[in-house]
Amino acid sequence: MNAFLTGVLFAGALWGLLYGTNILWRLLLERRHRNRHEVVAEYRVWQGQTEESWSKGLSIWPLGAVIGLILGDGAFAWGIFAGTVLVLAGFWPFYKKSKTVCSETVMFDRDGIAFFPPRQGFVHQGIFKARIDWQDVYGYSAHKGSILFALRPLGHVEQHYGPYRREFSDVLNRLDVQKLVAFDVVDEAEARAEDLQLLERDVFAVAEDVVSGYKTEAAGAGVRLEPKVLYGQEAEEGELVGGHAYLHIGVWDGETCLRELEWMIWERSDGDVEVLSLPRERLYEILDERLEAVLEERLGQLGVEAQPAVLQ
Amino acid sequence: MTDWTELWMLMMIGAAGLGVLSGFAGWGSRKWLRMRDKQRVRRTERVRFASDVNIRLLGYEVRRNHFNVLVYGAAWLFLLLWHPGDLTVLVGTFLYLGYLVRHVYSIQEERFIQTMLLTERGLHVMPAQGMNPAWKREKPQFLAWRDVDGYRIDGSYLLFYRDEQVLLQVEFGLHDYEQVRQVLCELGVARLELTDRIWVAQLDEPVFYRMEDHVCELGWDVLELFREELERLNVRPEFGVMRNVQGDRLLEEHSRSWLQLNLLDLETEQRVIHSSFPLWHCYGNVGYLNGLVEQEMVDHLQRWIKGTLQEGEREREREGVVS
Repeated sequence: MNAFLTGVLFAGALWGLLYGTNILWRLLLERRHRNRHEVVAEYRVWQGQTEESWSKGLSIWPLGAVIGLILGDGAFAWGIFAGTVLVLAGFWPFYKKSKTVCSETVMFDRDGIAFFPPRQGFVHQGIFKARIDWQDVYGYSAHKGSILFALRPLGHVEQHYGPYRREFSDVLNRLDVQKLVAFDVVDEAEARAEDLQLLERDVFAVAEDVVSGYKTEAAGAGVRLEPKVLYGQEAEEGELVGGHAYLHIGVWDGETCLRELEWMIWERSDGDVEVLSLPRERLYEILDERLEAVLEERLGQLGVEAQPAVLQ
Repeated sequence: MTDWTELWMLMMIGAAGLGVLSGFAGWGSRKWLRMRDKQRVRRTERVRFASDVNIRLLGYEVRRNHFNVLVYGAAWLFLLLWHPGDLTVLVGTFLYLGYLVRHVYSIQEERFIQTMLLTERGLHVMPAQGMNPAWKREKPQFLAWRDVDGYRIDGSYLLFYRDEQVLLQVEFGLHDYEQVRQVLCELGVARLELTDRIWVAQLDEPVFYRMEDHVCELGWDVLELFREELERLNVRPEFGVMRNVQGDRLLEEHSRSWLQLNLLDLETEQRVIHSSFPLWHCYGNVGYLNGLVEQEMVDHLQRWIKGTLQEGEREREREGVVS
């Protein structure tokens, strides 16, 4: 009976060493990271369970059998057998669903970003932690479920963002990481109608703000600026294949539209949606730049028209 | 009794030594094997360019841990104390020390080193071995120039194509960018594209500005060759580098730089024809950089300017200026 119990305990301890420690070590690593860095945001990206689960848990059996054979002690081997059954019934289901096994933790801090990938076991399971410092990051962009970190001088690292695309972008913008590509490419499912509407409202608000700043200048040039959000649809042989929304700023002189400034907000095509995604201040800057150019052009034209009159 | 203890000590030392030796044979020998492959190529062929490239992604730092070694070490110590059987202990000792040596080599950079040799006959690549032991190592690869249609550059990769299929891709060191293209040009391996696709941060701006100036000068020299043509068409060239953004914003999305050639009528100053030759186009995270080297560049410029002049001539004929 004693040998049997030793076997049970031995199986339990072995399981603890090979698997249970994994959870504890991950917790410890995460805590240490939080203590050492000024973490500004932290997300858990669910990666899902892996399939090969049960066979891994059973791998203690042959080990127990071998040890039992070496010792020539049947009770001990039976103990290991029973211990394994206990562990598999009692711990394994919970272990397989634990955060450590199923999710990746992403921590943003002042100096960089740290990834704690999902881990199935304590040994022979790849890495515990990877890190990129902002000084090595040239910028980021988002493409179909991943944030792409462009590294300096070359290469990139893909990071799944799960449901957190906007959150990731916000944090990165706050940390002054450059957005390299203005449009994010996302799956149809990810571009929910209410999100797109929210985006349209956001862009429109920015446009209104910028336009109101140019009110006097526009009046001086004898024009009126009118921002609008317009929609378009693309059909092919009567079937709807895509659509888009764009910001339209008309430069009006009385009833005639002198110039139109257009800027895509989102566009659907072939199951993908391209979504404008820039930090707010970049939106301001770009719109400001474009409006200024248009007004300058208008003033220039006025000058050309006015000049002959002066010379005569 | 002493005999047995001494014999046991000898056997333990033997098992440990064998373990270490196996470790060396499996993982320590790989550097030497790479050197040997390199020497073999050097003996038989004329090597035009050789480099060892570290293919590890810079900036992506993977924290290594030593748990495997610790856990197995604990198991080994347990085995020594417990002593279930002589043979078990000996085998355990052999395995653990072999594993220890493997671990030592797993920390070294050697596993990321890839060797590339460009010879008169073709391309030799000795791939980085990762954690493969010597008996499972990836064999050196060879690609003869006559089997290749041409190459493209993508990031720091050279991609060799045959019938639109990538035959082999190999990484080159960033500082070799210039030289690799030069050597491939001299060896007569064709470029499949005018431009190289590179990561934006890869663009060395000062080098690029020098390139712009240099290409512009080359362009004027080439234009000089077509002086008679220009006089016959009664036009004067307007030629230079143009950008759609200010110089310091060359790395922004949609920024471009190109050579512009306008032909202007001598009397009316009207533009007869215009044409452009791309140098740089940025798409945010990647960009397309004109990667032609010296002689290729001159040839291309000549072809482009000639084409533009021919178009100009047609335009003139339509206008009825030149009969």
